[in-house]
Amino acid sequence: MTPPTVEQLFAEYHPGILRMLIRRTGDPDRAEDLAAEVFARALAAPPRNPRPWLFAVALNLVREDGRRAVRHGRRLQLLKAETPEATEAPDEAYERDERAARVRRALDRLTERDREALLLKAEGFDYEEIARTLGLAKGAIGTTLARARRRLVEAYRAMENEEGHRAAR
Amino acid sequence: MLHADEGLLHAYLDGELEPAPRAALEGHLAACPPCRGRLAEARAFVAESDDLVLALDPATGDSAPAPRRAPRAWYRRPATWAWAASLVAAVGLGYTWRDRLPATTVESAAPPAPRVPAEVAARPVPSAPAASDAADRRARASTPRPAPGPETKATSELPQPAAAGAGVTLLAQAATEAAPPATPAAPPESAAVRYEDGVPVPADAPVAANAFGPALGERAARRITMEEAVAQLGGSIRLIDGLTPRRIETIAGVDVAGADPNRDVVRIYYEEPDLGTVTLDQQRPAAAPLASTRDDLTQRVEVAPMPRAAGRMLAPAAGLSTLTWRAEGVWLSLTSRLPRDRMAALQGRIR
Repeated sequence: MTPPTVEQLFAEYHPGILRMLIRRTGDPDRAEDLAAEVFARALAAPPRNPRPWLFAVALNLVREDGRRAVRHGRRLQLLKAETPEATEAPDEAYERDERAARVRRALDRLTERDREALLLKAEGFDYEEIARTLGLAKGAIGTTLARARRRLVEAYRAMENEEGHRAAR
Repeated sequence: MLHADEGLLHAYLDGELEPAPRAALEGHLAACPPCRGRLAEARAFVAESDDLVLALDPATGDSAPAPRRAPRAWYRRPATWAWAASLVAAVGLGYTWRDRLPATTVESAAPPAPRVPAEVAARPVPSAPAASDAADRRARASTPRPAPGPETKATSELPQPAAAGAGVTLLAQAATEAAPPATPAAPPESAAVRYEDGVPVPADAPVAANAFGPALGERAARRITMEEAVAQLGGSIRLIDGLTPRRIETIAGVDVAGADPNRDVVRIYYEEPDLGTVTLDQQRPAAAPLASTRDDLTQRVEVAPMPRAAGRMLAPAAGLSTLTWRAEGVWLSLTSRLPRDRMAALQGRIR
């Protein structure tokens, strides 16, 4: 069987990788750049087992990029106004953004491993694939996901409570 | 057995346990109320964290599909009349439109002596032309797109399941391959179809001003909440992991190809930029061995790993493909415009 071409890999995996990168970074432009880099690397070294490979590269790039970003003090979040949101009423859009920002802060409280396992699960990965992508034992994935889910939910609820109290004062 | 740890419960809910440990856990849950409580708690964490992750997705722009939303918020939002009106219009128009459509014939996919297990072969199987016709009707009712369908050909390339007793019934090997559209998620080029909440309706159709009239007859598909769907299915529902349901309906079984005509079917609509519209139909077994009390958690849980690429591909009109199979007695049917390998991948994500 001939291995898939990069074009085929792109068609199959780019939407999922981009979605995961947006969820992970909160920055669609940066996610696009990182996703492009993932496939550039796949072109240079075609992977034998593409799905775990592509997602692992994407997550590695986020980590590397995050470190570089901190060093260089960049990571500007501009051009937000250009994002088309014409279909939503301002109130709804505001609520969505608020909720997304809160979820992102809750997600940031997780360990890198827990966060990545959670995002891969959300992309439909099974435990075997998550283990392969993150270099973990398959037997550890249930515990990792259980902890990740609990922490995410508890962190989110705590923030809701804090913000509720602050607003009440 | 000691109490089940949280990781094990999550693996169970994710459908990741092998049969033996799963049976052991279910046995323990049946006898251990505290663990049943922890299972319920774990289930709530899974559902809520899934919602939260979805909340990270940006709202899309002005083109279909509509903004992705967290499922919980979506289920809890009361159905509005606008929703109902567009839905009823879509179904009603789809029904009346079928007479105006060119008769799209699908070469009846009578398989060349499929290798089906004896116990399966003995099961009453709807004849292929009837099934195709019903699928055709359904395809037209749900997506009245007049574009000529791609050529279809009968094939039987689907891999056979490794074991027939794995909870799946391979009804027949009537696989029909529809040439995949170049861009499955792309909106139709023709101006003949417009989308209302993800449902294609003829562009020239009037907006549902009088959609509640008697013309709809008994063919109504009724929008229901997630909770109602779960109740209809006897306490558990199967979803495509990682996707957000956009709408849930209940439809008479007689209107769904391959389903038991005597019971209603739950249909879940998904709409994703990379997948287009995908529907997942499910119907519970006639004699559901499920608990009548809502508190019996162990019996309400039905998480089964889906065997991959096992099932039957029907060939509805206009490039739609349907994959039909059974798991633990539940009849399931997946329909989309995706090519077969992607259908099989989606099937593997059903939990």
